[in-house]
This record gives sequence, structure tokens and C-alpha cells, in this order.
Amino acid sequence: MKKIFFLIAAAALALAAIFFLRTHGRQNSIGAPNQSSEEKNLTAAPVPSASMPPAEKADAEFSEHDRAQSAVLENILASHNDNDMRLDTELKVLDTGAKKLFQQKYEQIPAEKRNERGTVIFLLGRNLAHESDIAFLSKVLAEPPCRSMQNCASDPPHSGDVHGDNGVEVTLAYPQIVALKSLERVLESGNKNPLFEQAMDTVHKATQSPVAKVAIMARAIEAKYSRH
Amino acid sequence: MKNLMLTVLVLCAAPINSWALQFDSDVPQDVQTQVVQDLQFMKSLRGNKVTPLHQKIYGAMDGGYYNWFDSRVAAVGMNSCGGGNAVACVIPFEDSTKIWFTQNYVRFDHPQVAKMMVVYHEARHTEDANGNWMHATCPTPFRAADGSDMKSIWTGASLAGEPACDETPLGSYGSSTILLKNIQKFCTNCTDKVKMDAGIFSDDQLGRIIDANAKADMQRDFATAL
Repeated sequence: MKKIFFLIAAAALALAAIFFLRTHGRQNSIGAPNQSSEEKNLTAAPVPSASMPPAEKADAEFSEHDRAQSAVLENILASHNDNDMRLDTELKVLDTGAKKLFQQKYEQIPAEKRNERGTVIFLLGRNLAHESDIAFLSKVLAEPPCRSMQNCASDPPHSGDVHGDNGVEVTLAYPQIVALKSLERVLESGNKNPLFEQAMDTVHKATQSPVAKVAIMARAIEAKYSRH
Repeated sequence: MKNLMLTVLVLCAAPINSWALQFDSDVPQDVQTQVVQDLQFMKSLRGNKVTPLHQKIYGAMDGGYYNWFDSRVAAVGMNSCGGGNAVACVIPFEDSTKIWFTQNYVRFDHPQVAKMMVVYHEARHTEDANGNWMHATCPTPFRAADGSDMKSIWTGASLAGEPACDETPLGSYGSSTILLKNIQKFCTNCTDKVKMDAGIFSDDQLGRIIDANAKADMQRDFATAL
């Protein structure tokens, strides 16, 4: 009985070893036969060395903590849960590296994902510490209008149902509205804040936004804080 | 051992969706999942205070938002809701206890409180005893506080003359505005984002209240806490 058991175990081990070697071997051969050389390079595992391409070198500027925060962000966005408390705990304070990762993430999110984009702006907007942070919000405010929920680049199909529009105009401008809210917090802190003038200039530019909601909100903020 | 196995089997077989809502068989699983998740979010909300109008409509912010919804809505189906941007609707002449969702509910990326604003707005329309809180006709011209024309993003047309306004704080626009304003001000277990969103969308909804006295009542209400 014992002999049979050992034989079966040995056979299983041998099979596992063959499977491992085959799998490992395929990884080393870089891709399937039909792949182009460019695709092969993309699938090759990165080898840390002095000749690393610039994009991978840039990764070195991100700490483990930055990457962990980025992973938490991905997780929250995928969950569609705006009340995930990690937004106010693990993602409350962002260092320069995390901010850069979040800015990159913003640019990767399709324009139609208004809530996802706005969530990233909300997190960045709580961490405005440098001119470059405001410059990023300025870029967001200067984006072309998102014209429809289906496709930002095209007009929505026509319908006679005004009831169904409830809230849509706000969502379409949501990332920009959140950016203005963030700038307003800088202005609220008073003109001794070194970012005050830059924030005010950015709000002023937004008063010319082609998006009515954004322009109206920017005008109201400018009127409120230009007295300071 | 047998008993243990049976217990495990029974637990595994229990429906994950323990909500009283009856989903039609054609409601896609992703819509069902998102609706349940969003109502669970509403059920989880707690607040240490509410305004008098909130107390009158919804009671305290103590987990009762789901019961409020559940006492009005018995069934969930799929419908185009007139096409376009709608994420949900109630069709009182067809079935005033049923809410209909569109694919836009999961396709469009609205903030979570914005979706709930629409769902609770629609749930208010189920109330037959209150004439389903039919909307008032927006005035002509219909201008925002800054003087600009209030327009439908959907048609690009002015909302002037359209049934897209309310004259009372208790209608669908008013009640959802009160809901969101209370979440913004008093929710104790909401993220800062949820509270910010509730403020953004409630301020927008207040623009649909066209009676000056009703609007003033609401603004006074928002400055009061029970």
C-alpha cells in the first residue's frame, strides 16, 4: 500500500515539475509566435538595470506608500462606493509622488467617467501645497466641455424628456466643480496663503469657461473673495 | 458532522440579496447589484441632527432611509424612461409602487448621492395620496439666480414652460433637496466627498423650487437643526 502511495506521489511531483518547466520556459521565450517585436518587448518582464527606459526609471521616484495609495484609489474607484472611509483616512494626505500618480490616473480615466475623475480631483484638491498642484487644476478647468454622459465629444441624442435630465448638467461639469471647490478652500484660508493669487487667477480664468455651470460658479467665487 | 454540513449548505443557499424589493427577471445583475449597494449606502447613513422638514418627510437620520423607500416601492423593473439621460423613473398610471431603472444607472458615472437623489425623487412620485406630487410648470422666462436661462442639458431647450419645477418643499424636487442638504450638514458617517456632493447637488436642485415662499421656507429650514 505504502509503495503505491509513494509511486503516485512521485508521479504527481514529476508532472508538476514538467508543468512548471514548460510554463517557465514559455515566459522566457517572450510572447506567442505571432507577436511583433514591439509586443514582445512590452510583455517582457522588466529587468532592473542602469539601462532601464525613462518611464521605468521614473517609477523610482514613487515610494511604496505612494504606490499603496494608488492601489487603494484603484480599488475605491472600482467599487463605486463614494462612502469608502479610506478616502478620509488612507488617502487624506498625499505626498508629491502620490499626487503625481493620481494626476497620471486622472489622465487615464475616460472623460465620460465623471465621478471617477471628480473623485481624483477631490483627493488632489485636498492637498494643494505647490504651484504645480494649482496648475493641474487649471488644466482640468480648461478641458473642453463634456457634452453628454455617453460621449463627452458629441451632443446627446434628442429627447423631449426634461425630467430625465435631473442632475445631469452638474455631473457633466463635476470634475471642474470639484476643482473650483478646492480652489475656494485656498481662497478661504486668506490672502496670506502663498497660493492665494494663483488660485484667484485660476478662478478668474474659469469665469470664461464655455460650461455655464463652471463659469457661474467661478464668478460667484471670484466675487466673494476679490474683496480680500 | 452532518448537521454542520447542513448548516453550511443552508447558509450558502440563503439569498445574498435579502432586500424586500422584487426585481423583475429582466433586470440585469449589474443593475440589481448596484441598486442594492446604493440602497445599502442610504441605509447606513447616520446623523446627529436633522432639520424640521427632514423630520417631517424622512424622520431622523437613523438608518430609516431604506424603510422610507421600501414603504413606497415594492418592485423594480427595466424601462427606457422616455429615453435619453434618465437613470430611473416612476410611471404612476402604470404601477405607482414600481420603480423603473434604465441601463444608464450603471452606464453613466454619476456620484452616488446624485443617483440616490434621483431614486428618492422618483420614489416620492409613487405617493398616490398626494397626487404623486406632480410637478409645477416652470415659469417663462425661467432664470437662475445669476440671471442665466435655466436650460435642459438634454434638449438644450429652456426649461421655461416645462413641467420640471415644484412649488412646495414637499414635492419630489423639494424632498430630495432636503434629503441631500441634511446629508451634507449632519451626516456623521459620510466621507467628506459624499457630504461635498450632497451640497453640490442640493444647491442645484433648490433652483427647481419656483415659489419664493417655499424656497425661503427651505432656506430657513436648512439653518435649523432639531
